[in-house]
Amino acid sequence: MKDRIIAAAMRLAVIVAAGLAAVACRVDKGSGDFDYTSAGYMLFNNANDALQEFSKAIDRMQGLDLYIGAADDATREAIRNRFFHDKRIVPDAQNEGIWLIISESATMEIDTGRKRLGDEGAAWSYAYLNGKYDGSRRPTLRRTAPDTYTFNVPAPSDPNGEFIYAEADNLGVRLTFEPDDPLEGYSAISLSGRFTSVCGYGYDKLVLEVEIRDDVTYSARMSGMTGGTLQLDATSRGSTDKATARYLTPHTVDIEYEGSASTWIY
Amino acid sequence: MILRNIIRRALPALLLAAGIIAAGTAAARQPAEASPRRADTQRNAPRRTVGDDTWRTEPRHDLSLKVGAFPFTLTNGHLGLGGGNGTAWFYPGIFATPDAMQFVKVRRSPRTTAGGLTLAYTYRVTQALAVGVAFTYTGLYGDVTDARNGRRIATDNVTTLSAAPMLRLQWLNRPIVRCYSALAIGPAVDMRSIDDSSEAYIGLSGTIVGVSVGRRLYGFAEVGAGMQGIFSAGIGYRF
Repeated sequence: MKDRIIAAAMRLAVIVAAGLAAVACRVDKGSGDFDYTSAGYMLFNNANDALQEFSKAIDRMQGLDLYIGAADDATREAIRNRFFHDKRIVPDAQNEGIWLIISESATMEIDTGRKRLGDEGAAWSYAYLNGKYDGSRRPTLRRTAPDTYTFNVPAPSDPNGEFIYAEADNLGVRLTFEPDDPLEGYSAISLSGRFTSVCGYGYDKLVLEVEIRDDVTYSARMSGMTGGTLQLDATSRGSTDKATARYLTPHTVDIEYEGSASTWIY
Repeated sequence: MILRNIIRRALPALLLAAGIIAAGTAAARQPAEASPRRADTQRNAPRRTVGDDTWRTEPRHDLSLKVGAFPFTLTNGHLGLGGGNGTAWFYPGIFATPDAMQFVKVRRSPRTTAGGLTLAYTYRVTQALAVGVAFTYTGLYGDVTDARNGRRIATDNVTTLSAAPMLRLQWLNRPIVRCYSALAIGPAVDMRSIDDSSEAYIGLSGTIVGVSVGRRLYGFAEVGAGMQGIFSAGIGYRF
């Protein structure tokens, strides 16, 4: 009788052991239903980072131009609340025409060349004096026609010291207001042309050529892009990748990558 | 390839099952040929307890083999209990770096394991206490495939080996049924195939409650935690 119990117990142990092995079989889900267009989405992130940075800098310059030209203190205060509610605006006492926009994280120094942004021959340049930026870079917004400008962003002095940066040569810019009233409206910025984004640690970089196929529109009121199409061509480690990104709303974008398409929320 | 994977993953359990069924069948047949004298002795013998000197005449060596569910590895935690979820590894990062672009173009298959396989030897130094060593193998198997065409481009297996000195405390001692707790601690190493990396550490395994049934050849089940698994079962032989 006891031996039968022993034999039965051992059989039971075998069954339990086999059961345990089966139960513990699958450990994780792997990549699951991972979206194939994610490579294209990541390229878009690089391009979008640069466009957001360009647009916000231009928005601040437009706001500073209104601030400088304000007829009275009340108007100036209204402009400050609309464009710089969490920042201080200080003229450089030593250098006429230079203004400082001071926030908690960085100070943006804008050299107006003692001209208003809408004046003929105006060329405003800026640099960030602290934070993550290299202070020696001075992107320049140059007026070419009423409400029309070119935007130049030079490469950093030490490209290998930056994780991600962009350089642009004569990016087209159109500046308007939304609604169309400088005293009431927020910046509406339209960008056209092409630029280059470079991303990676040290010398191992991904170089992304971005062509703006349909003008990218930035709405300061909505804090993001409301339209535009980008053609993205990336090169890294000898291989190339191509993607297309179409802005839908300030937080959604359509990505096409190697024949697949998806809408991403960012 | 699918058949090979199934065989590879189920092989430890199948071998264990075949071995134990054969042994169990043999053990069930054996009593008929056993001498009547031994059966009488057992029938009349008083129940043995801790402190009884009769243990000195019993086998002191013990060899056991078990399968444990949810074994612990440093790389992936308790396998199957949320550990080892590598999905985040492939989640698209914020920016496209050269490394990120390579990662995002591949997929990883769901990873599987057959649990932790432990071979243990112990030697009883007293009625209640045994010392020994436990060798544990845990395999975690997965593939990395090209996202576009599904072709396998690499394996992502993690093999964990450990050799841990152990102490076993037997707190219930009956001729057939024994209950015990155990603790094993010793060096372990996780070896990952995808980048030929390895990481050594000190592994720990504890058995809170173990129950064995049988005299020389016995089956057992355990609940514990650590490298050998949380729920375990197997067979052993005392000699």
